[in-house]
Amino acid sequence: MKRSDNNWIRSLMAGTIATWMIVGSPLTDVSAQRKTSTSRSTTTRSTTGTSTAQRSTTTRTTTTHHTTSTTATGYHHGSSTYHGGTVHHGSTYHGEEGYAAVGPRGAVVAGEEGAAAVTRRGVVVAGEEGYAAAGRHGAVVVGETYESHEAWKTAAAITTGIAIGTMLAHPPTGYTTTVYSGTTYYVSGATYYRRVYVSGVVHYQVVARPF
Amino acid sequence: MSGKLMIVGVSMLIAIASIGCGGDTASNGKPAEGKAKADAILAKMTDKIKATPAFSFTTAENSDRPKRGGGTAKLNIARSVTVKTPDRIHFKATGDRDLEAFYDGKSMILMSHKDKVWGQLTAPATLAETMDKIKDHYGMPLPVADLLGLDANGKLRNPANTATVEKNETIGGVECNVLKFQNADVDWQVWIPVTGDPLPKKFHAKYKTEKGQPEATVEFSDWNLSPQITDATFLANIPNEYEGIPIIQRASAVMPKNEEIEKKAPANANTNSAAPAPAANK
Repeated sequence: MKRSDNNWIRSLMAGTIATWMIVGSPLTDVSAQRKTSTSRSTTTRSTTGTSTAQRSTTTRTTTTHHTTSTTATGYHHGSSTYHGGTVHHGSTYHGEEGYAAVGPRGAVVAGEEGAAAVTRRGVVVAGEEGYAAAGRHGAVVVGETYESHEAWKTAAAITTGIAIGTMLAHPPTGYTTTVYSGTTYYVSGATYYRRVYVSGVVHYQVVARPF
Repeated sequence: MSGKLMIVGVSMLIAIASIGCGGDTASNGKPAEGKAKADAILAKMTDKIKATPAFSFTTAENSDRPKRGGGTAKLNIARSVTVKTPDRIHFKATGDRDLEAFYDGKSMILMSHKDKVWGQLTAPATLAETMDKIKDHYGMPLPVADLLGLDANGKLRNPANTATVEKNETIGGVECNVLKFQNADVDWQVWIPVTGDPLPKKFHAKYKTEKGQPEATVEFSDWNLSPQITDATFLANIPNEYEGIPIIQRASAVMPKNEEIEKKAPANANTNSAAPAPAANK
């Protein structure tokens, strides 16, 4: 058995234990990602300081939520890539490894390098730097990458909210974090981000509010 | 008349320079010979690597990362690489990248220690296919894999290459032949020792058909052709506190082609008049 398999089993066990420990020890919640949680609890912790991952010195608040879900964590150990944001409405196109979702009233159009995704609410266009990900509520999500929220605002030049699927190289300033079903979300205003790998680098992808 | 004299003069200078460089240059008016010689030296390198079941090395890489809106950013990355052919690789990148990768013939696990995250992707059965896949699907090219012949469909090994043995240079106290290749996609050079193991000391490439025409320079060191490795070398030991995160694929790798969509949803003419989301800012 691979060490990673052992690790997963260990995580499952640790996760079950953490279910009971979580109220008294919120720091154990990280392992909840790969576990079955049967309770719902909320803990809050605040941290201040500089994080190399987050490149921010703002005060952050972390909230932890636990639900009975084991599939909405966005990651399934041993599987290929993205199982988060399960498409609830509409058909789904499964690529060889990943997901590209076709919405109930839309189609996906792919170009040579990028893709244009037709969703219920219009057209999302992604160019050669586009990346595909499944939207949580049936819409096709094709994400573009930007250096930061500020860079996105400059490039987008629109007043609507940042599109689900958009990915930033850095989290927005002034974010808070919340852990839900073992996944850490970065929250700025009403926008939720989760971490993803893009080209081997950790990015922050806009996702639908997870709860 | 003066033009002819100038051409003669320049030719003589080139000839003298060629002699001064040991005569290994192809600029003697025989490009076919130059290509044959460059190909032969490169083949020695490739053959040596292919005949070695396991090896390790470190690199210092200086490369361009194309930026949205134009231009490039410079990245300095140190990498340690361990390979066991045909289906194992471990590499760890530090500096401007924080990524450790383990490939065991079935999957590749990525870990980023600063962020305390990891991800996993299923991988083909061979290293060559995996190198292609992480480049094409996940946007993670490993330039040295192409150079070393580990990349099944690398851009460097193009039959349409023009090639020359340009000159000799000393890298780290070792005299090297400098081979220069050009094809439609890449202009590249590799420095291979004149004597001893024909393992590369330096590599430079300019990817002409990629956005921003990024360049990469890689210096090799610490070649070890009999490293102490076990299967565990290629298995990730993921700390419990690390969070698993998705690895996003390039849209072109997973999205269906236009024709497929049209077949599946012919009546799907979306008449929504909502404004399109922001077009990519190229």
